[in-house]
Amino acid sequence: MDKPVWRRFALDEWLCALLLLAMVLIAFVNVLGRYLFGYSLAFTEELTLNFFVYVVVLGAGLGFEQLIHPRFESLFNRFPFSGRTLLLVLAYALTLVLFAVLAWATWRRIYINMTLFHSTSAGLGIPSWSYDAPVLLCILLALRRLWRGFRIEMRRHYAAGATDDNA
Amino acid sequence: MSPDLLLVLIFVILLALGVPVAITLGAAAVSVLLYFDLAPETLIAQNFYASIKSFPLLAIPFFILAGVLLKEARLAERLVNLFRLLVGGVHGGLALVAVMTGIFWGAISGSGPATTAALGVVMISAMVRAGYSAPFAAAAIAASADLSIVIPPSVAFIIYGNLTATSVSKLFIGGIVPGLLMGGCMLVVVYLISRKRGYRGVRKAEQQESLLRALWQSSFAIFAPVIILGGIYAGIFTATEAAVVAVIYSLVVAALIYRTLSWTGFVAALVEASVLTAMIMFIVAWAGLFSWTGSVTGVVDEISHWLVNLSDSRYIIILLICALVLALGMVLDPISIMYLVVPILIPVVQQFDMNPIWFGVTFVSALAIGQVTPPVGVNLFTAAGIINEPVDAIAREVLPLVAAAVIGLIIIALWPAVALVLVN
Repeated sequence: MDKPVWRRFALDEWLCALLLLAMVLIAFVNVLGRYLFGYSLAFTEELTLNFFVYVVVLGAGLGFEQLIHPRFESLFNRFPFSGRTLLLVLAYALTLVLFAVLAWATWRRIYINMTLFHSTSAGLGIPSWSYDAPVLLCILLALRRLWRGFRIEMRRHYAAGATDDNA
Repeated sequence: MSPDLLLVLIFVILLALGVPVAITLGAAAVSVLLYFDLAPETLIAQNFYASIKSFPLLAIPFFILAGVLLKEARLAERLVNLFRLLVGGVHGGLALVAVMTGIFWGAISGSGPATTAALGVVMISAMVRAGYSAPFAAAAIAASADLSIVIPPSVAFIIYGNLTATSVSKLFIGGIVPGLLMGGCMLVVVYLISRKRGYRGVRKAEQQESLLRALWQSSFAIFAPVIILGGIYAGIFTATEAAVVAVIYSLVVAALIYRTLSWTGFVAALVEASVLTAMIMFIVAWAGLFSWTGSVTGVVDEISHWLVNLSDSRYIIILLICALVLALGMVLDPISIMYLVVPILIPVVQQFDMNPIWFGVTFVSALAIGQVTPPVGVNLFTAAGIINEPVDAIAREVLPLVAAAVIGLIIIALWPAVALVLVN
């Protein structure tokens, strides 16, 4: 039995799809508005750009599970099996740390804006921290994909290692 | 150890050890900023987000989505069919079709790996069935897909324009003739190799369809660049506006005209475009922080100063820059190179009074070739994945095509009129 459309995609995939669709629609309405009626909704630009940030963080997470982030492998492939294992763990650990630094720095920005600056966004006039807060959820969802990517890559790595040994 | 030396060292070591490029850039920048206490942590987040939150960069997800949707509409197959009827009969007919489709798809897609993936599946098996070697077929696709970032729309021009405050629309227009020139050089090489190896053309009996019918069937593919470039050239759209119009056009073609797009396919296309965008923008975001760190530590100024004093001749300087970009292209992806090198080159361009559009087009043409130069060529990896063979096998076959593109690059670098003829 085919699953209904909404069950074929995970939460982060749906978020990516809907945010990107919203970006397209907002931008298209603005193009139409500018040429047909001579005005555009300037405040929507901040919505679109923040959605863009969420799409990038969520999509980067999905990319880690699909193992598509480019890297230089020539030297890596010359290491013995155990060396490659260590380097893979290092690469994923560094990615985890970098996401953690981003989450921490974002949290500090939210905290300072909430308690000290009380700054508001230029377009809609809402507290600027409210645009940063969803990034933390996006990072959490991306980390879940990073973990799955790590498991897939390790499985492949050990499978390839076993073939090498047999040869 | 000084901050600038540490920044470069961490970057080079992590890159060599196989850490993803985006993480390498981010880890080097973050460790130097925090270790030397050069900026508060909130500035790290601020810089990361500011690198993404730029209106001109919105054109990237939109052009990528338009490309994915047109792929869903099976326009690649229709274009292949048209070019097969046009040039399929001559020596190496299918290889010429592959390169011509690659050049044309460049006017629909703005990313090299995306073009390789879209055309590879369609073309390679057809070429292998007709007697071509799989690595040669994959090399022809990967090399012509290079031109996706020279022929507009182009992700590289969008990022270059954003980095240097140069008009993306003018860069797009400037890329047309150089893209066609490099493509022409590749067509000649593919023809000569095919002749030498005895790859025969498609027999007339196999070409039963009429040219007019094929032209009609691929008309929606041909019309896409007309809308994008025509709108920009006529001054109706900015690049970002042209991108969003391209998305709506692609959606109408895929969902309403050809009816190849289901709801599931539509959501999958949105997810695919998000992931492809994120792969590029994740590098952009961390590379933005890296190049900001480079300017804080002073390493950018030092190298710029050294470059400016290297020669008095702008032509020697531009050829040296092309050689540097080609060398970096062997180990890095185009976007990282752009963020590493462009901040250093801006003072050089100003010192030698170079036309920014010509310089941008020459720079991106050199970057494009880097996408297929081994050992790290993003297009090579994509093509190797499609034929399930090691990258080395394709790398050998791609070298004559790289040489052809380099000849095109030298012409673009030495005669600014090639890039500027349509801009002016």
